[in-house]
Amino acid sequence: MKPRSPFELPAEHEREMQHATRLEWYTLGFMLTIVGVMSLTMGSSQAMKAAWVEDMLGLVPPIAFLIASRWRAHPPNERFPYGYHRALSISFLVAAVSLTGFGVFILVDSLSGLIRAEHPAIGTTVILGQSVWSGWLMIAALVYSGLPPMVLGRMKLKVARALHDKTLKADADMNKADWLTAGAGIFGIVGIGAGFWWADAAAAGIISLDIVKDGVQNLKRVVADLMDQRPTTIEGEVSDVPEKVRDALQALPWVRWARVRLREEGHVFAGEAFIEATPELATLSSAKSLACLFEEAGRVARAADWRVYDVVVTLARAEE
Amino acid sequence: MARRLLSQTDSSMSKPKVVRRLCAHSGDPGRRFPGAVAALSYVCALSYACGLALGCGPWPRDPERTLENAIERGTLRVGATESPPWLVRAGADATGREAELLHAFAESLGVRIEWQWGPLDDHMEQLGRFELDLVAAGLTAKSPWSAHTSFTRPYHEEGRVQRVLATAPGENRTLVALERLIERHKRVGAS
Repeated sequence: MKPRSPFELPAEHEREMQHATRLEWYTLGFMLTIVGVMSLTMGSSQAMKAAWVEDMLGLVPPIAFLIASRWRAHPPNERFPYGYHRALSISFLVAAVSLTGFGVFILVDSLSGLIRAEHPAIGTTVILGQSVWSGWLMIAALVYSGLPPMVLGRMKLKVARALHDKTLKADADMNKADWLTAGAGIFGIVGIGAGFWWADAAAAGIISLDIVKDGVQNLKRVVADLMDQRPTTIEGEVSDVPEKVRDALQALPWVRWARVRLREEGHVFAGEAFIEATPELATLSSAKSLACLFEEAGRVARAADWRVYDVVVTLARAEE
Repeated sequence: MARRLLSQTDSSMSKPKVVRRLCAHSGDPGRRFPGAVAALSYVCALSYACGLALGCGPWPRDPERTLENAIERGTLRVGATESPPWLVRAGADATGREAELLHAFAESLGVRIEWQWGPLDDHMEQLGRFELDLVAAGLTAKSPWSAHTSFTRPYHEEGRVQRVLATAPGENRTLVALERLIERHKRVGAS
């Protein structure tokens, strides 16, 4: 076996990565307190239960990210000659599945509540000898559960773009789903207080559609990545990196024609480049060895973008 | 969604103008949120909550108007199943801890109690259809009927056994009023 050489993140991206890791630890910490507060105040409110289950599921993407980012740093070895970058794709898969599963869960839960015309009950809680309507406590808990994900989610989105990290993107989507459900929960509970038994389930149902949409979109992307689709941006648009690599190779004096085939492995791209050499190759290769020229071509391909990791260069005939 | 819910409640509720003006800016929430719109819709949700809470009388309300109807009718329809010592039939009336609580409850509403004696399962089905206002049957919090109707907080606790009354599902004004009364009685009993 010939393991690949290890991949080093550029210094500025290494800093972003540390920032992302920190954000994920904050998320984990906040989510745990939120889950605690919610379970204390949760009554039979549908939207409240949905928000709570979501917060539990919301723990999955940060954990997946933190585990994967540990593995990412491991250098390729005899057993895993291609390295550990795919660990990120797997964590993205986990995050996307949990997001989708969550959306479907609330959708089914709220629809069944509406169909069976379940009237959610919210009674009182005794605080310091005073009977308080539990709805107020639930609303306070929901406001608390909505604010950290809103702030952290927006911060993650920025880092996810810079790092080309799709797990982080899925997690940012999860955070958006988090505060949307918290908002829906508030609407639902106020609605119940105002005497509309369906308000809670209806609000949760509408929000769940948005979450399912996000989840399915992320799921499609990660499956496509694992199927070695051509590289895309974290928003799912076609990436221009393959063209950049091709142009860089064609700029070499001994290359007449070049084509590349790239796939995504976590947040790096790898693949093959096919080049047709000009007759100049013969004269050049008498000065340098052929292996040196090909190594240089590999370096040029990697220099085209920081995400390009491993490109195997091979000779081919032009297909025009 | 903000606007959708608002328009559904607009007809029955009068809200401060500020709330409505704020919500007019909430934009299309289904697509990607620019930061300001996201924050604004959150603020919107909160002001909607405050607006609703301040803008109307009894809170929370009964979706099926259990208390209002009882007051208009002048009677509280109680499904009763004898369960000594909590509820014992005594001629046209009843005695026991549950009867005491319900007498006080009826008195606070200015209505009289219409005891309907019968088997528990029948009462619970009727309560689920809002044909009864309350069920008193020496129920415990662990009763499987808790998923079908709304149980109050316990009026009596002994180890793990919690005695409760049942209200119609999701009739929160009734539930809250009864729970407040139970809490008052507990405190009087303790002191």
